[in-house]
Amino acid sequence: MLDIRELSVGYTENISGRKVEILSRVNLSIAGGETLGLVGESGSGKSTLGYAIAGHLSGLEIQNGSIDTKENPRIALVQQNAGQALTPTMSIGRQLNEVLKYAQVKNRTEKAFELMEGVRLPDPKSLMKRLPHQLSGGQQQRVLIALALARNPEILVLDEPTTALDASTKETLLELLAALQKSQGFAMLIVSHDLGIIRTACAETAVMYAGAFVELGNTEKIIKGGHHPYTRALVEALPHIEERLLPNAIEGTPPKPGARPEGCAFAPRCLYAEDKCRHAVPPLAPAQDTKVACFFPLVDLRKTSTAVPEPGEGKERLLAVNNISVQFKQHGGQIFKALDDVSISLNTGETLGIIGESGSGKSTLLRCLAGLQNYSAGEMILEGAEDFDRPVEKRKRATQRRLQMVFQNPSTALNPNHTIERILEIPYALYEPKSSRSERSNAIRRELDLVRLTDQHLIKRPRELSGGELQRVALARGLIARPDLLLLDEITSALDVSVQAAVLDLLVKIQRSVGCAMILVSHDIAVMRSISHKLVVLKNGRIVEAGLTEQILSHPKEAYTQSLIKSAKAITA
Amino acid sequence: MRKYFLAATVCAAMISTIPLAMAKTLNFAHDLSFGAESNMDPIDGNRLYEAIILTYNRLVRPSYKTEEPEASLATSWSSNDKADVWTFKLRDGVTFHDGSAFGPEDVVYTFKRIIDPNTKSAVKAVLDIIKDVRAGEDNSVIFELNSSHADFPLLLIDYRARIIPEGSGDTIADTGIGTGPFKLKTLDAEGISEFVRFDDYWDGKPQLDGINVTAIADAGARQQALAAGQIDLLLGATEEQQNALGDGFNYQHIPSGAWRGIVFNTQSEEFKDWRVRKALRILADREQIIKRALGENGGIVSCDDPVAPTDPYLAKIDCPQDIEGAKALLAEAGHKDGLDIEVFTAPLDPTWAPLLEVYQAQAAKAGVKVKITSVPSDGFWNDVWMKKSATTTYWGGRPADQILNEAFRSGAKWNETYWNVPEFDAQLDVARSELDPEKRKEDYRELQVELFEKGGAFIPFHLNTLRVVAKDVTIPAVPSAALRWSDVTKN
Amino acid sequence: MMAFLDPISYYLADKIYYLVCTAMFITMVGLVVIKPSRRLLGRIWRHWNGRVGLCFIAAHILISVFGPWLIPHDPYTQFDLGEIARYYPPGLEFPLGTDDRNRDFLARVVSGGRAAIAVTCLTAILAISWGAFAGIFLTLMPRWVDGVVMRIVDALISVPWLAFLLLAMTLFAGARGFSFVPIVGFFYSLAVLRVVRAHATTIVALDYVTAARARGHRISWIAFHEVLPNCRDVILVELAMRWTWLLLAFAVASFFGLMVEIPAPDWSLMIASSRTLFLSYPYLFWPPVIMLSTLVIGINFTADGLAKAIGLDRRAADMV
Ligand SMILES: Nc1ncnc2c1ncn2[C@@H]1O[C@H](COP(=O)(O)OP(=O)(O)OP(=O)(O)O)[C@@H](O)[C@H]1O
Ligand code: SF4
Ligand SMILES: [Mg+2]
Repeated sequence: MLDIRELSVGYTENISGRKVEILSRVNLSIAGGETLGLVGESGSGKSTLGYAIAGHLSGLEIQNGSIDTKENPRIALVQQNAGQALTPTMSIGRQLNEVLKYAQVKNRTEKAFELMEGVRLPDPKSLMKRLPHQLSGGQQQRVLIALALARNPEILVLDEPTTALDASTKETLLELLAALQKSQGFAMLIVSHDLGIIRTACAETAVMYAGAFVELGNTEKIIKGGHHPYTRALVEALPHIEERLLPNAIEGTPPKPGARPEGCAFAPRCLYAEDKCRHAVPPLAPAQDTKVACFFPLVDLRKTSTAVPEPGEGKERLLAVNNISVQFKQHGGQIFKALDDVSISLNTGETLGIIGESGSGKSTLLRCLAGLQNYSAGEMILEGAEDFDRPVEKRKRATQRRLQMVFQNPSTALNPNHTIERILEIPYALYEPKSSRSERSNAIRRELDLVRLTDQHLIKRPRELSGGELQRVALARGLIARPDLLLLDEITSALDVSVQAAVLDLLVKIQRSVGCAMILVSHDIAVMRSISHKLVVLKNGRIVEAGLTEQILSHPKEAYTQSLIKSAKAITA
Repeated sequence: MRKYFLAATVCAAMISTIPLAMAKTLNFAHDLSFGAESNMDPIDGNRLYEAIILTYNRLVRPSYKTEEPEASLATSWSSNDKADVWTFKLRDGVTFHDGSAFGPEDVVYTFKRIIDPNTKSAVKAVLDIIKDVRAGEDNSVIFELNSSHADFPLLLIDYRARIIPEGSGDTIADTGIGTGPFKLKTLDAEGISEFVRFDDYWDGKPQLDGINVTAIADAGARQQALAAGQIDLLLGATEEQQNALGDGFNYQHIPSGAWRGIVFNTQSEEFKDWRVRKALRILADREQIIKRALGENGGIVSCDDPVAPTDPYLAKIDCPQDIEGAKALLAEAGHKDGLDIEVFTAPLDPTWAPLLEVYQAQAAKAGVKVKITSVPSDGFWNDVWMKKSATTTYWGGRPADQILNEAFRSGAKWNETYWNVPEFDAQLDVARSELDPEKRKEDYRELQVELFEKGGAFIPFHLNTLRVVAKDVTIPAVPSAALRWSDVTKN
Repeated sequence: MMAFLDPISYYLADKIYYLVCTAMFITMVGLVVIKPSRRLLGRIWRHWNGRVGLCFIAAHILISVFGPWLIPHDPYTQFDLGEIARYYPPGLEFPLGTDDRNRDFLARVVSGGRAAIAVTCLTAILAISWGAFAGIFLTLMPRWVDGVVMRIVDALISVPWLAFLLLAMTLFAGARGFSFVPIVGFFYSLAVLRVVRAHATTIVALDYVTAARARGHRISWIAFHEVLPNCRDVILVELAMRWTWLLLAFAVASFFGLMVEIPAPDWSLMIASSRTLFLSYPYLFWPPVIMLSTLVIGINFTADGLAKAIGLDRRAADMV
């Protein structure tokens, strides 16, 4: 179905006329009904390969090689960043309808319902009338997949299809894809940094680094650590679901296209690099049970993860949320409870994890705390602040300052028009209006240091930074206020595993040095296990189970929690 | 204004769809200068001039060739020795459009209505001399005048002195019933007003089947309507229009008594000093104004004299450009360093803007800065003219005695310069009762000289009317006020 | 009832006109010199209509800057040329001949756009700033405020502005040509408001705006610092587009004798008065027509190119 030979894709620089490769000499073939997984850090060229296959090469050129497919294949692409791929001002129903119209489908309304149900979207009727921003991230993602399936594709390219999905949704989605593939026989390429879903969905996996495949082989072999030092590092960066350990980050960053080192591209970050590696490019050759592009393939396993520190004793109570409820009026006047009788409490310096499937009300809870969402019943208490129960604009500066929020997607959470310096200066100037210039710049530098960024980043704008760097900037923006409580909404789910590992590591270190409490929303149980002290399990706006993380995860009482853990394990273990 | 423009366009479109079977209908346009209130009452301020000349007759009318009055509804007339009692013998067998017979009572009613103290008509100032009017013997009427007036029949030539049926004062504005060659079918001041032939017309059956008078406010649009064959004649056109229209039409240059000018309110703070007024008038090069604003044959120089160039009472005055004289007068009046004035106008008359532009340039040489302010057309007469202290104006031709009384007698409705000189009024009375023609002429001359010396009206020229006529229409080359519409033909 | 540029405001118009030209000139030069903008200019240039538009605008700037230097006559002098009192034929002395008052027609054509450009530019800026301001603020207001205001806007947008202009000029007797600026500016701002609001809605939904709210910034701060910079492109295109429509609106008002006072030169007035000369003196008719239309086309096409360059769909914005 799909056969790629020696494919190089890149662009020609405007002024110098230099050709820059993004993909270099990629070989790959997928037959109908087969699925190939593609893993690697962001910037390695995964998405570019996906786009090249789908023929969306805006501004890029094929510099070498070829893509062979049968004539006029129907290729569908599910793009990264669900939120941005949907038109914000058009209802979901209309967007589906447009695509179906384009695909010349007859009974469009029926087909639309079918697709919505196919991707397990609840209550399709009311969802169709909503605008994208009225859907949770996971719901948006599923809408995108429904849109892609609308065209009955022969080749389906999924770029990070499950980033914002919780474990159970992921599982059902992957089952769904497998079933569809079986009946329709399309070839599938799944691009993801999530080794879990790759493992479930793909028999074969390619590991990509700096535009080239560094290892290709049976997924099980790869997941176990493979034989390439990079594959190994990736696997070790995964958080552990079974043990309370911090994952290992990979030091350094992947090279940019056009700045790739001579010889092995991984050499600067490789623990095993020798002189030879810096001069010659290792070819992709069979080594043991996979194909590896390394002069010194690894054999043994190594494990050096560190344990997570527990919060100290004698902490005081910081936050209490007692029995709050949030209601939305839906089309037709029914009332929908996004939060129902929810209570949480938190001590200073502690991390509370909130876990639950998509749409369970996690973000809504954070929005309540941030004063961005009115609640209909209950109370919220922040120690030492009388005005905490009010909406954010009615709170005092001092109260506003004590609570900072970091968002899931750093590319939409930072104003693209501001420089990093300005982004950091704004909150500092807001909370310290009398501060002098030098005080401000000192504070900015201090925060940069804390999140491991350098002065060079100050004059850049968000589009010039990688996802991991952006999320560090977003963190710094929250930290510069020196808050008592950080609200973190899925802050690692848009990041590579390697970067995720670094950010989790960073969170732990920050908490140790600054001492702030955190509420971390995530659907990833492994992430929770590595850093949260307490855990709350949410379902349909209600608390299912709450307690110490270790306790809940090792001895879940409720059936729902057990099933969550089970499906998470199914996908990773 | 856009509304009118649209209306005109729509009308034009409507005209073009009129079937060929009605080809004997003559079409021409009016400029809507009296707005939507235009009506058929000859003495009303908003009378639709282009319509009342079709449907009514006067007792006497101007002759085609001379200035003399000629028989119309009156067949002959005579006065007593003092010239203060006049008897007019009326035409027999004349009927109104509604079939009723015309007789002395209609004439008596018409003139009593004009001189009624409650009448607000401007024509009252002209005919105020009438003390009483009554039916005489043998189908005649007798006018008793307040004072002698040797040229009384000339006054009756006034285009508004049209005979309406007895007792029709309240309805005449809508019915338009008269004895004229055409009778009103529909009146639509902002659209097309239709007139049809009056078969029983006393002066012979009219040649045309009907006449349509359409409202087209914009001069350019009227020209285009003519070029497109939607109307058959332009009653007044410019040299540029002649150039643009080319050889496909007949052009009649008709010396008219009409004039254009700028009027200064003699009672206003700015212009109450006669030296200022005179300076503003003598600084002009009138020849140049004619050439540059109207074109080579556009008009005849006037020395601020409202009396028509063809009128036997015209005074001979010389008025070359006198910049130095003007400056001196201004300096005397306290404007050593020049003077700023503001003149109001509207895009209503095509000659006003050119006149002002040339005048402005000439005035600058005498240190007078003229600011020209234009206002939308349809409010000009009601809201600006005679309200602002300096505006443009236009007048149709009238006999000497009439124009002087109508525009310069104190209290006259259209005394636009607010000329209020008792001696002038007295002299007007003396002149008209003077029975000796030579002396009478001298009296009128003095009045005109007085206006040139001290008056408030700047009258640089009398217009030659350029009438553009479609080739298939024959129309006598006489002023429209003298036209007998029953003579007009169209093939 | 008066609707004119009096001499003082005409003088003002002249000054503003030069300011506008200088600003356009500097912008053009700036676009060529500054690198990131050069890319924008290059992108405009890539579309054929952008190219035509830029050429026309450049030509207009050159004519307005150098024209008055090259033409020895001023546009007001009525020449005494012996026999010929007006309509002096074209020749060396008067390349386009003289007009109906024997003034140098070329000089009049060269300076005939000043009032229009000055007044419409001011109007466009007013319409854009207030429309964009309101559009952005509405998106940050509670939903019901937005609903009420938009209903009013929709009602007002259907009022014909010319009728309103006339009405306003009747009410405020003495208001002159620059009264065009607030009145028409207000009406055009309504259309701008809609377009900007539509764009700002997508911006306000983004997390960085939520983040600013959560930090406790005031709505006005958010509007200016977070939303406005991200609406810049849309606003730029709107400015160019509205400007062309305003030029046409000005021409219409001028045509009806409402804008520029005689004897000031104005293209639309020239066209209005030379309509009748179209056959006899075509050289008095075409130049102002060409000047006015190339300016309108120039700005319009540049807006087109700009919109394409930054990936906006111009059809989304309807003409008032
Ligand atoms: N403005 C709104 N109007 C109506 N419904 C809303 C609105 N905002 C959120 N919801 C609904 O409330 C529920 C909870 O949404 P929320 O964003 O809190 O989910 P979440 O747990 O964060 O999900 P995810 O993991 O996918 O981010 C969802 O069903 C969502 O569709
Ligand atoms: S080739 Fe060398 S540098 Fe590259 S991965 Fe293997 S050991 Fe590391
Ligand atoms: Mg969420």
